[in-house]
Amino acid sequence: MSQSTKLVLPRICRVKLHSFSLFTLEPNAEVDIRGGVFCLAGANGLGKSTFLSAVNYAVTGIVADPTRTFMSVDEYYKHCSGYSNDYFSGKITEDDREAAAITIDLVIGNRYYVLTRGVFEPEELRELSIRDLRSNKVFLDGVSLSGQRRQQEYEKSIVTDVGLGSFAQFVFLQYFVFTFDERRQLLLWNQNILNQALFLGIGADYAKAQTADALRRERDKAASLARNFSWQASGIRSQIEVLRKAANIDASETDIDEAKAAQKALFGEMQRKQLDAESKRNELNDVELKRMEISARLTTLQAEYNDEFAKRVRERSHIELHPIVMMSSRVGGCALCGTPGNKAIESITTKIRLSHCPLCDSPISNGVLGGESVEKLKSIDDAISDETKNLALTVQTKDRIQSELEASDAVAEGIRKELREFESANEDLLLQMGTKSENVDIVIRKRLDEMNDCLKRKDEQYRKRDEKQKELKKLFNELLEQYRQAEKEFVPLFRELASLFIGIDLDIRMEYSSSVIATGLSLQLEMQGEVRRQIHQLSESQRFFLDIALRMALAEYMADQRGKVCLIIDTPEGSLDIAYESRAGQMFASFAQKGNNIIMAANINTSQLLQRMAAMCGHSKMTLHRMISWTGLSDVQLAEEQLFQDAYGQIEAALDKGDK
Amino acid sequence: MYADIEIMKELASQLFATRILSSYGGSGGTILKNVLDTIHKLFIYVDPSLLQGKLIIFKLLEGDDCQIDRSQAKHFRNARYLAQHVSTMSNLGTSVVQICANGEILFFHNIECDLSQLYGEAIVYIYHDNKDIFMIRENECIVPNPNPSYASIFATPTFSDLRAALEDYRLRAVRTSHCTIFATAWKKGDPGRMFFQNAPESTIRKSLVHFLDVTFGGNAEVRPEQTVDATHPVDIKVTWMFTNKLALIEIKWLGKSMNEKGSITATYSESRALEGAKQLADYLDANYNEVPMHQTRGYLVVIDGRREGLRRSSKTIKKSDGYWYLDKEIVYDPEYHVIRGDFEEPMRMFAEPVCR
Amino acid sequence: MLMAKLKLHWTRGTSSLLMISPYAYFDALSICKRLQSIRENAPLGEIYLFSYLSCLLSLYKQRPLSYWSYGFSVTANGYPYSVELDSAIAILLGHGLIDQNVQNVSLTEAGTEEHRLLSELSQNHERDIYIEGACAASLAVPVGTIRRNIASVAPIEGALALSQSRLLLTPSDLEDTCEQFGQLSSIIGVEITDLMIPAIFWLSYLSKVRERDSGE
Repeated sequence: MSQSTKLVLPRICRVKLHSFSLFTLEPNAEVDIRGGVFCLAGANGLGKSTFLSAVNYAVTGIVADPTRTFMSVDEYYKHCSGYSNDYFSGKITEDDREAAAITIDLVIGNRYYVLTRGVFEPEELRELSIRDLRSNKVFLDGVSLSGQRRQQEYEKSIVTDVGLGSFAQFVFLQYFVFTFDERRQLLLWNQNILNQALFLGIGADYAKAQTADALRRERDKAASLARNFSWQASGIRSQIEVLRKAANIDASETDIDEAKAAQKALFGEMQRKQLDAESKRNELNDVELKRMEISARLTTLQAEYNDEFAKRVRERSHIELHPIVMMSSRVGGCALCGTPGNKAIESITTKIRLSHCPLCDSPISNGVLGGESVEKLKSIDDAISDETKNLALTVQTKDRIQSELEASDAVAEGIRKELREFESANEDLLLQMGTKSENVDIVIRKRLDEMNDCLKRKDEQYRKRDEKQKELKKLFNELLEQYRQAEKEFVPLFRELASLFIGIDLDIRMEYSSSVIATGLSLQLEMQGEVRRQIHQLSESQRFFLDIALRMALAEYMADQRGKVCLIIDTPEGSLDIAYESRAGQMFASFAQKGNNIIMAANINTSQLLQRMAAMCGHSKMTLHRMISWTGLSDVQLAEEQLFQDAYGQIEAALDKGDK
Repeated sequence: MYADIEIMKELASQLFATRILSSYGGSGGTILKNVLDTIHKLFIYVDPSLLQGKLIIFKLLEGDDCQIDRSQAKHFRNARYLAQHVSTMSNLGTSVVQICANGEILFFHNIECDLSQLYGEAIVYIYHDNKDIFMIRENECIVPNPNPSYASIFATPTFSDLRAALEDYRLRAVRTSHCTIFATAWKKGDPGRMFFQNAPESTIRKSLVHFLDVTFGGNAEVRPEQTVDATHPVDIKVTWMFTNKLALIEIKWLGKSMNEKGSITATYSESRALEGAKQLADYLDANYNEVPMHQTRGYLVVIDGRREGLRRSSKTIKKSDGYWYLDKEIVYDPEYHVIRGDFEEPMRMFAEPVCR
Repeated sequence: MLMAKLKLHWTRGTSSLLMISPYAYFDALSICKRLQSIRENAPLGEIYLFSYLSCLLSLYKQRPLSYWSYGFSVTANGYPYSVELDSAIAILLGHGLIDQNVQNVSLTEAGTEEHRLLSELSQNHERDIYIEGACAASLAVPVGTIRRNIASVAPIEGALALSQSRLLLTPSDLEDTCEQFGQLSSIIGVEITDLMIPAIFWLSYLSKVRERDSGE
């Protein structure tokens, strides 16, 4: 592989926190990360994982959402962008929200980056400066730029300096190769991620892989069509056989004519009955529509009737209703002034009769109900009566048609059944019937033509299939060549690291599988001659550390120079055998000794791992940073503080030993 | 409640209305209505128990021609006019009433004729011997009278005034023990009606409830023994429909009651009535507290079965003793019906004995 | 009470007129007229009673429940009650078409004329058949007995026993009555035009059932 396709990987050398409230004692902690292992050790729950996430967040602008399944590089980057807010919200107090930030110093090749990202500002940078290490000249000073502009410049620079195609690719690599976090998916057992990583790592042409995928699909489709045509051809062939056989049957003219007539009769009968049923159905629809129309008319008429009735009642004079007028007639006098006697009443009733108000003598409309108002009511009533009768008749008609329809349907069904039975009983005769009227040979010839056409098409499709296969093969050979090359370099790296951990001879094979995944690449592990493809055959911790080894190998393979890899590892908290712990420490130390860097967080009780690592690295290659100083201990932890001190002491002692 | 088909079938074969329908068809039904209407109107004015001869009312199924000589008839425009005329007659002998197709009435008095020919062509009603009879062809169909206080089921009145109903109860049900229920209040085996049975209250109450139910229940609800409040039961409560008018009726009986063994179990005299008046006054007060918005009136009904000189061993009673208390009105002190607006004048109902 | 009804009617104003049921209006007039002709008076409570009985007779003639156009209920103040009838009676009183004297109502001249006019309408003509049958039944069965018998039938009987208000003529209520009508009509027939006899038959049947039940 040429130099230019290798990547220049970033190396983090300083981390400074600002108002990071989670670390109550040291919200503005600052650490220098020199070469080798930087180990943040501490008890559970002190925020070690958070620290590592913060570092990655500062560098990429996202925090990986553990629930997010990986679909593609671009998609992952886009969809994780909202998660950081949720992640940090519980960890930073309200007061510190605005101020909280992380500053990272990192080196990519000859470039020295200093960037500061606000904890709640994933899409911008508060500070960015890029310095050329050789000339010490400031390549980019982001002071005058907007936060978003700085982010854009940063992304551009990263892509160029690392040597990738997009920032999304960088983020992908940072999270899936250069960082190990047990919550996320393991490379070894996720084909999709692995293939992506391999592609990026190998520097293969992704576009080529997609073309290969399309070719494979077309090839398969052609093969499928070819099969279809073949099947059709054989179908027609058997029909021809039947015809040939039928031509040899010795049936009399009369038999055939009779069968023909019977079939025709039945068929005709069935058609007639079907038409009957159809027309009955139409009739039913019509009558139903009519019923609805009449119902609607009735409803309207009823409303009219009610309105007209109310109007009529309203038209009676109101004056007579008045309580005083009524009271007057009851008490036998004027209810207003109290004057008793008939004279008073007569005066009132006379005035009303003459259409005058008994109180003020004004003329009033005192409509008298006559026959006229009943006439209107009567006409509506007659209409209602008529429509009611119509409705009853319509319902009757509907019921009749309904039962006629059911009868019709039943008859049609009966004849259909009869026809079917007749046809199946007289199959041979009928076949002959079809051909007797034409020349058998002509029919057979027709069929033969059809069959040949199918066969021709089949051949066409197979040819197409073969074409596609050839193209695909060519393309794949190109890719495969790249894979092979990579394999030669990459596998030994992995094997070395992995066997340090597992302690047994481990082989890994790259396979090309014909699955529908674009790249078609997979890695298979072989342990002691047995192929362990199933995840459950390895213990969880074994899987984790193997995955770390794989990342280490990949990163090393990708890097343009040896010893320029920076990995971030959140040590798995699961229990490893003491022996394995020690070997893990060995694996890490070996990696560091090659000049690579690890920023790791480890629980203080993985002491075997740390001690082994410390002993192998010594102070020169390992820095132990106690996280106790950043946050207070819980009551329980305080009570057992001595234990912690002892543990640290042991590691320090190992470091001392390592120096010697 | 399911349909009791057995009862229905039995009823169909016995009920005059259904029998007429099945014998004479649908037109028989319409004609029956005319006949019933005429009977009703007649009995408003004429007490059937006073009829001395037969009363026959008929209407032909078709037309008006029958064998009776029309020249003997008095013509009336309608049944009401006939009734008014007949009510003025004394000694009403056998009477025949023909209802014409146009509604006119022909009245034949004291005629001798054989009307059996009519049976197939007319709906014929006969009142005779205290019985309502419809002739279904040649067969008699007697209409049962569930209220023997009245001489005919068709003469059962409907009262709109409670006091008027109670008056009628006194005259028709209690006085001569015509009410079949009231009649059972007397001791069994005591045809003289000298002693009540032991604890006759419930029987008497039942009798009055039934009477009021039939004659007064069209517009009101008659309920026995409703509590006014927890400790003040009253015999009968009458509520008028859709008003807040309420009547509380308290019943007290006077006289002697005797059990089957022949021992006198209770003797009630005038003081019992006074007690009842007080009780009723108290009930009215309690009721007012309970339902102050109601217009309530109290009625004290005193069933007077007192006899003079009655002894345990008495088997018969002479007239003077039996009727001793006929007119002995009770003097109330205090006179609640005078001092209270909600207290009706008490009604004493003398139940006549059967004397030698 | 009349004044109260009139005042209420006046203050309700036209809104009550808008809600008037033409059918309740006619029924009140018709029942009043018929009861008057049979017995010379028509107690107010009986208007509701005979309307209810008429409605039941329409069911006997297999008219749908909706035919009668207004409903009835058992209330604390009496049964069967109908708010539409109530409004109609108030309006008839207010318009001087019926007169009230204590508990009895009667048609005035104007009312008689109004009834005559409205009887010409065919819808009312049919209603009259049921009303006629119901009112004529009182010629053979005392009104008190009619009320008592109707009260013994499930929907009313249950409500009275529990002192509850209740809507009448719900489909479930009518099951028993319809079953009885079914049996009745198998004996008498439904084609009968004069409904007095089925009414008498049914009421007499209810009397027999009451007798049987009280004897048990």
